[in-house]
Amino acid sequence: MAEAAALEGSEPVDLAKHPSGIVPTLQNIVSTVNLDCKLDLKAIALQARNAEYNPKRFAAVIMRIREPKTTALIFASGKMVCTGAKSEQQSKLAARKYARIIQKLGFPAKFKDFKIQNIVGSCDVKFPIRLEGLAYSHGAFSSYEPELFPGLIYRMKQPKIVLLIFVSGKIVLTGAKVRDETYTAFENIYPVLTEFRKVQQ
Amino acid sequence: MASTCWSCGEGVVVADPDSGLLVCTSCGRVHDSGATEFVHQAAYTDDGGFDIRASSFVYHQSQSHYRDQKLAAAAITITSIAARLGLSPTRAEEALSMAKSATDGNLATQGTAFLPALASACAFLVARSYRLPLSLAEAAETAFCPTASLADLVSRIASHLSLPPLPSFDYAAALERAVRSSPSISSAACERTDVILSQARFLLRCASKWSLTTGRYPLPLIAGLVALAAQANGVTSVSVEDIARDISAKLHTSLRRYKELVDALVRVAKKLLPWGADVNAKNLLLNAPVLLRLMEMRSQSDPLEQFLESFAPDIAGIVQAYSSVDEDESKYLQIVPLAVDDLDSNNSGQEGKELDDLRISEECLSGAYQNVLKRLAQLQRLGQVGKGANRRKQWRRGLELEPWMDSLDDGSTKGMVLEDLVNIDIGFDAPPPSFTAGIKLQKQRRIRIEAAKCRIDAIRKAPAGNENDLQVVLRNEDACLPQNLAKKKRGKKRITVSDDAMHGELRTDMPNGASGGKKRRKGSPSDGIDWEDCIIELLLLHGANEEEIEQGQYRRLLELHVFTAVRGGR
Repeated sequence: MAEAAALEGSEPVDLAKHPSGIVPTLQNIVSTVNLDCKLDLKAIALQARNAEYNPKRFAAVIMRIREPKTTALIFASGKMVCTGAKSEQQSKLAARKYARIIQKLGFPAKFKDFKIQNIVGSCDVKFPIRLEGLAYSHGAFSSYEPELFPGLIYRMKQPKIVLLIFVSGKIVLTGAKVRDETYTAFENIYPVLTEFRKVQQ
Repeated sequence: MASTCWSCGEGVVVADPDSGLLVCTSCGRVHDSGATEFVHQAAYTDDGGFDIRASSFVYHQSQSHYRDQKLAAAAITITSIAARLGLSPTRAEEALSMAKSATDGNLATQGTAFLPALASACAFLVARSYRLPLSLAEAAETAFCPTASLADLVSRIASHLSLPPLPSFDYAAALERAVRSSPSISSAACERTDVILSQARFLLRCASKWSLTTGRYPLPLIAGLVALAAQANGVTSVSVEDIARDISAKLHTSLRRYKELVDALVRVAKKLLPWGADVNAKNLLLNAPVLLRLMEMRSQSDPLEQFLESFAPDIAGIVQAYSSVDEDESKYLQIVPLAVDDLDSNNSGQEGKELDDLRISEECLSGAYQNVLKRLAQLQRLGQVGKGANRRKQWRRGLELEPWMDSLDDGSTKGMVLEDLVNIDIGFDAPPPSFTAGIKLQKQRRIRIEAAKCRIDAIRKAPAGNENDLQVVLRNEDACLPQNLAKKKRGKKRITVSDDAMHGELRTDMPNGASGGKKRRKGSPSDGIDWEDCIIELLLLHGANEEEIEQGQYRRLLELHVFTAVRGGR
């Protein structure tokens, strides 16, 4: 029965939290953690599977795991960056797994100062947007240079989020430290987007 | 530029006009021409250390010469690059002074990659501030650097000099420049340049209306517009490739923009022209003059609805009066909203008056229609319709309509920004292509989702224990595929299924099915199900949100619902 219920479709959106009725979906979480020990990157690269290290190109070991499917950049200082997770929990779980791998390789790795550094979300407002008009009236926050990038770059001040707005109605939100910042930024921009909705005659 | 004597610390070291030696004007000491001439007291700190910052202000005469030469050469390079980018000598001087301000008078060394980049960036900033039609891509091409790098330099210079926000790209000016400076057009149709330009401007307004300009590189669009306007005017020797080459636009993108324009115009023709049902991308150019004229009239008419209502039935009258149209042809005259029955004498008189106001003659329209029919028949006889290779030749004797320059020639649209250009009504509006494509993809995914649910339900409802029945069901689940989606992408054939299968009437025998014994091609989907169907089925079974599946972000959903669920770590 649970499967049948699952096939029926989606859960209703909490309109109190998302008045627009649209919830941005998280696409990427970037987090950092301090393993609090010096690391021999060459040794790690030699011993660990799924690790690559090319000091001429980049001064960190690039390690990947499948579950959660993420990539980590491990530096000799013991600092680590974990990217590619789809949720905060996944990011933390992945970071712990990387730390465990480093421990198993013989380093006294700890798990200090885990922090989400960036959350990238996206959504679709399902209507086309007049980017020229938006750029013109929100010139202080907007940057629209079709010669460089097809989307409009909107730098919101509060919360401090950068939004990429495309003519197709697709929106990308980046720069959040917590998920709610992404949601707030979208709810802030949604009325503006409706104002510049391209109305078909 | 002369340095102070390091011996006395007071006099200025200058070159002796007779000997050429460097001497102090105060103490008369002869300075060596070696390394010591660079030494200056000011270059040392109090504790005897070498002060690099101070030493940079000390110049030897020969060094000064070098610097002057460097600056002169850089200035020449900057002005020449600015001139090459279409700036007048005055504007080029402005670019030079901007470059000097940006680099604190140092400019850049000859032979480095920075110098042309600096020149192009300053020329671009000056050009844009005066709304000159210079694109970033063109400037980057002249500077031999990537567009993004040049844009970065431009923004850095602008912020360093605290320049005001630059105006946006001036499409109208760029169009004019493309038409007037294009060797292809000037060689092929010098006398028609003005007509081509006015039509290209009108097409630009239409393209803006249809969101073909938003988020797009300007130059390829301009190439498409100019090429289409030229071809609509019978300039057959000009192609998109020629124009793209002339204005340094990317060819592939220009061709795509041209195709988008043609597709949009075909849709307009279907709506506006009485014989629009016959218009397609291949014969659009034959109808282009009439179509453009009608679109222009429509954009100027007021009230708009009255125009169509009054104009449409009159076409039948025109054709009846001025031509002998047989029944087959006259059917095209009845696809308009109003029937011919609605005609009455008073109305037609009024319409005639309105048409006079709109400056299109009945003879002209009738003649145009007859010309189109005649030429279509003629080309069909010759077997040339639809052959792109011969399309240019067909246009040698294009439709001769009275030239229309009207309001577009008076320069009223010249200074308009793109946002102002959009507000016209040409009787047809379209959402941006990316939006349309997204909607289409979502619909396709929705069909796939429904088909997947159908398959899952078929398996669930199969009676347990009966192997034969189960096999039938398993076979028939493939029959639940959406036949529309089963059409092949990239030219590979896919198995199609009948409508009854689609509507749930499961067939027990599938002689033409996947198990029919035919050898499958490599890469073709097995049993009509491709990877996307399998993923959708899997996601549905794991309870993924259908709306999210419609968005097509399969990787994210697989990671959130499928792989995580296996470990129980959701």
